Amino acid sequence: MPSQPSALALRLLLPFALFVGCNGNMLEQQSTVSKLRVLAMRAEPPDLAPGETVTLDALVVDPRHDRCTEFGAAGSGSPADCLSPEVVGPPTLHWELCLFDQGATNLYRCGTIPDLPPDVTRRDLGTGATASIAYNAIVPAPSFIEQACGQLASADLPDFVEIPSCRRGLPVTIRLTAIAAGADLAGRTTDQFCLDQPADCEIAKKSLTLLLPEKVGERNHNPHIEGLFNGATELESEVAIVPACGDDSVPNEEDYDHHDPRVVPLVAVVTVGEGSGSSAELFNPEPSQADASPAPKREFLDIAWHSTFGGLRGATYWGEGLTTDDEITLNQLEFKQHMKDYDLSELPAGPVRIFAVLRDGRGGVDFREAELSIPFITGSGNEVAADQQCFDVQGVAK
Amino acid sequence: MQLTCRLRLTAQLALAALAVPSFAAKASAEEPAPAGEELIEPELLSSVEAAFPPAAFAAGLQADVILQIDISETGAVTNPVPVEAAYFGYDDKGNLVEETAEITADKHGFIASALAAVTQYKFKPAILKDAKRPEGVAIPVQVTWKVGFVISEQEIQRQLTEKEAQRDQAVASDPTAPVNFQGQLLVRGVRDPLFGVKIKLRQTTPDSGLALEVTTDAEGRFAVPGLKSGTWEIKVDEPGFRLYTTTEKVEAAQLTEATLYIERTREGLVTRTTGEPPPKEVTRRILTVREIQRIPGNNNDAIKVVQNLPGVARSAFNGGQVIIRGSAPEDTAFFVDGMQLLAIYHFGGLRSVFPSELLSSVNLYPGAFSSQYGRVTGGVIDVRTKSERLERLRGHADVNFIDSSFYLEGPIGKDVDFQVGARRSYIDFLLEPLSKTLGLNFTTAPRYYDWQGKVRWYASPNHTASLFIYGSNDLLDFVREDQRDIPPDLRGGIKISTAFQGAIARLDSKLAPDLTNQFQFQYQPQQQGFSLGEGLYFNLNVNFFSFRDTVEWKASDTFTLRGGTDPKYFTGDIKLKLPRPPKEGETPVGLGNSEVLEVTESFNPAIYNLYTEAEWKPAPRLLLIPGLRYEYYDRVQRGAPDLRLAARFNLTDELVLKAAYGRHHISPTPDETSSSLGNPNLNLEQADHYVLGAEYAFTPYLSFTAEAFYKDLDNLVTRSNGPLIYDNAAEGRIYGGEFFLRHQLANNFFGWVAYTISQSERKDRPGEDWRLFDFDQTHILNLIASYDLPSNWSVGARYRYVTGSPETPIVAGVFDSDSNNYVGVTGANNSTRNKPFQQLDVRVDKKWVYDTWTLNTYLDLQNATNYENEEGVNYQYDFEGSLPVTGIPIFPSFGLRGEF
Repeated sequence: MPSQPSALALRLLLPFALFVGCNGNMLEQQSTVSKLRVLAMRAEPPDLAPGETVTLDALVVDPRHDRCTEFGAAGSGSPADCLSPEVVGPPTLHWELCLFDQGATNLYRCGTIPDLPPDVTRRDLGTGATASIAYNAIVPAPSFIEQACGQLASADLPDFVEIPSCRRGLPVTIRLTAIAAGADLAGRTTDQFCLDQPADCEIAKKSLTLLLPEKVGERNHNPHIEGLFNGATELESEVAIVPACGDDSVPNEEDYDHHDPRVVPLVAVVTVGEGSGSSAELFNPEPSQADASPAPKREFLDIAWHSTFGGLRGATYWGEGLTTDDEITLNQLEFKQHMKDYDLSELPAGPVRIFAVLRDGRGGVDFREAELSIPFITGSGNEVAADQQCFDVQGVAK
Repeated sequence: MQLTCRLRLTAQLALAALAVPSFAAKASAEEPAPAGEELIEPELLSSVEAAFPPAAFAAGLQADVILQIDISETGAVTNPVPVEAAYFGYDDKGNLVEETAEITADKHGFIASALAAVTQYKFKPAILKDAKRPEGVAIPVQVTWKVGFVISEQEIQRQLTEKEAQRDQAVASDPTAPVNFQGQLLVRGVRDPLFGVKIKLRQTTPDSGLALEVTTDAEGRFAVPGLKSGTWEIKVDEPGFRLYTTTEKVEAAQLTEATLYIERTREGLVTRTTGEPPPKEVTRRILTVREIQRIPGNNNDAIKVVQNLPGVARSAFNGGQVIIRGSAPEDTAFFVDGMQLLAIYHFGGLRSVFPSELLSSVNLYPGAFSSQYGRVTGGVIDVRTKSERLERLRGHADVNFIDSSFYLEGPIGKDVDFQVGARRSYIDFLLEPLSKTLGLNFTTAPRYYDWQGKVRWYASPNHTASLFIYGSNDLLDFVREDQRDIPPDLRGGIKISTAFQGAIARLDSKLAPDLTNQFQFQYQPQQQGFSLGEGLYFNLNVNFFSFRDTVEWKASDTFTLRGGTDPKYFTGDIKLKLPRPPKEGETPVGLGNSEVLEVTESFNPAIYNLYTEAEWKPAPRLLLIPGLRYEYYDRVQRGAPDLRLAARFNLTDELVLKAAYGRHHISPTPDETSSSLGNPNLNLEQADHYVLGAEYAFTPYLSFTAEAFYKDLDNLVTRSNGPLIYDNAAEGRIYGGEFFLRHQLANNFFGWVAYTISQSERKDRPGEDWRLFDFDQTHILNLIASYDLPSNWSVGARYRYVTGSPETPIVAGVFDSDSNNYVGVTGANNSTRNKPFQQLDVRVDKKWVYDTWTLNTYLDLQNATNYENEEGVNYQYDFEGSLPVTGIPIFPSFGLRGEF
């Protein structure tokens, strides 16, 4: 025992002190998208069974791109952080498959095992908006998964190190590097570029399970977002939000300095599995030291919301056994009612974009995007100034 | 033929009849030398005091004794013969009375005393020079010498006053009559008896002028038999106390009793607690409880106050971590009366579990300490409970911002005494009304309580037994109302609980005049729990058994040998499901993606040891303390010998030089040696301590200490090249200097300047560069001052300046799409620092003193300048932006305390 077991306990609990206790109100929230971001990676299907091919895509957003196009169209010039109009375009995506990765500290680079050839431990999946890979291309022989798991268990790792579970199959890593349009690498590797210019580059990863043939019955399915709604109105393309003045909810002028939100109610309608009738699947959890034979469990789904402007009431909601009536599918996009001059520079030139990402906690993902067009925001700078005294976004019209 | 020359010299010796008599001599030639000859008078080289006959001194009698003495050619005095004696003194009214007595009747002893003294005189002989012997020749001479016995004017006055008082006293009281006036003299507020203090009584009604004086005994008591009836003015005028006067009406045939309370006006020099051994450790810092209670910014916490001493680094957020000479907090151990404790703080550092009043002193051993202490490579803090016999009932009740407490101590019969105390916080009472505003549902808002009890039985002059029991309980349990945006595994709220109890039985035995034995047995169960929702938890249950037996043999005044053992045995279990804890130099990089460990493990490790130590004084000013300890840890199945050697050399009474070496070992932490979490084959970590220093005492209460230290650390646990395991490949080095100028509590003031400069570095693997340890703080400056003002006010201030703590920066974030979290990419370990820390704390105390109790109130203002200190870094979700986490803002604390 150490001299002070309580000192050891403090060390164990330190991460919570820093991540639970600290509240960085002054820092940007994860739900606010202001630069190049990978919001989600999706594999369809989420588990790869023998004989199948998986299609990979990602929700990658760069709102600075929106501003360039809008301002460019309006002919009013570009904001300082706008990408050059000449190079505007979608971000470049670089897909890789790793048999296993080297962890976050090493930017999720593919790891190597001396006994395995490099093309097995790392595979380049191209640079398109989507990528695909066939099971048979990764798993050359039926015994490959057992061999790979065995090698992972024995290679360089000590006996008492827990290796990833291979009960259902072999979890591999999909690595994605997104680089902003027009970015100049200047001879640097993409990894180095990402470290140097994080606003123009993002590295992300997702795991994908290569199912054992006998475990195909336990395969997962992606959940599904049927649509995003405002009341009964589905937010499909650009939806105009009509501002309205004269709301009596502002008691006095002192409150003008505070955020006095007006909200756009949002609803995500979700389903899981084709024709399942339930929003969360039953699955067999991994055995643990405490529970060697766990009972089947229903998925916990979470919805992560993001927006390019305004604040969301909550960033991520979790819930078990989701249905469309569950409160967790509701959110509110909030704006300040009263704007100050200095707020004008924060206004986006284009429509407000909102994103909802649904995860089932087992690798299943779906995402949906909608654009809200608020007239005073989409207008030119002068028009914004004229309307800054108040605006109300409670009205929604198609 | 020897030339004999008779000279007549007059010598005068004035002997002041004081505690330290002075001496003066004067000689002159009365007979001129024959023409052509030159006589050089003998010169007194050394003398001894003539003893003043005690009876004559007491009677105020003085004398001049004229002697005729021969001084030989060697300068020796021979044949002293009394010639004349004159006595004089003063009568009761102060008139001079003279008497010339026969020299044959030495009735007062002056002549014998004068003769005895002059025979021990040593002279430079008389020298005769003439034409034949221009260089001169020593010759014997005969001189007349006067020895005077003189009493100083002050003493004469004192004797006259005393005579007058005795005369009055004889009239004012009747020694043969029964006692009719008695009482006790106590210190106001604390009721300490005052010994040897004179109490003056003067009859005011009737205004007879009668007066008398009585002196208090060891219990502060006094008694007057047969005091005349009337009203008497009672007066106590004692240095260090406010002048006290009162009146009492006394009847001749009736017993009148009075308790007199006199108020202290200034603090004297605080002496060390009774029974404290003289310093033998090369570095030992002792704080008295009286000082501890006055240091600003510590809330009277006896144990946290060691953080203000040299060599002790600052703990973040004013927490309870004790970081000694760059070592991690878990490398330092806490002991109470030599018995190790598993925990000593509420909520890991909010407040220590022992009230200051229970303790007599807090001892800090920052390095190369005695072989009686093992299993630590950092330092040792040994708090000592009161060892003096408790002969009066005392106690206190304390109410402050965060908790309330009480404490009682006193005797039970003749052979038993006790101490008992308890404390409870009321943060929960304050927070619960706010729970709605905070959006929290408190099952239990944060609260703690602790209790202590000790009973000692003085079974015989050679045996003392005691039982000390204590306990502590902390609990925090709350749930946030809106759980929707909390990940499922973390739902259900946060619960933190820690409880421990302990019992220490002790027997001190004197087996022989030079042989003592001290035996202690301790049982300490501890339960520690943490849960974050249902998904993450940490539960530890430990039963901790230990005993210590030390035999000491004082072979001679210069050699003492002691030896003993303090084995320990743990049994318990641990269940946890938590992210892997960060190790030295690492920084948390995100919760969602950390590897989550899930462990259920039982353990029952034992630690066996033997130690021996000698105190040897090969020379009067040199003390050597060699020591040897062997420790075996059965959990890792390894043992190691520890060698210790300390030396103190008193170069002068004021200057002490000191040096020490110590080898120390410690077992890796349980998570590091766990078969589930780490590597069960790890070796013991090792530290070699070297210390060189000096102490200089300017006055009994003003001292300066300077020390240089070096610690060589080997076999440190570090992550191995594999992704998850540990090995012993790291090494470390810590070096620096400490400077301590200290004014102990005296003349209404105490304070110190403590400055430490140090560098603590670590090399994680061979071939890598040295880097800073987590707890490296280059400059640590503590200035503390407290001063007692008139009217029982006191003010104090503490200023601290500390180099910012090292940080491992997070240079980028990568996105884990599965968990929707970013994970930090760390830069070089501890390659940046927080901004330097500085803080000013001030404290004002006011005391109201009543006869039998005192009421104290204080205002303690932490961070009085509201300086924003960086305690860490709070990163944005993707680690791209960050803000400093700032420390405690300006924080006032107010308390009330009644003592009796």
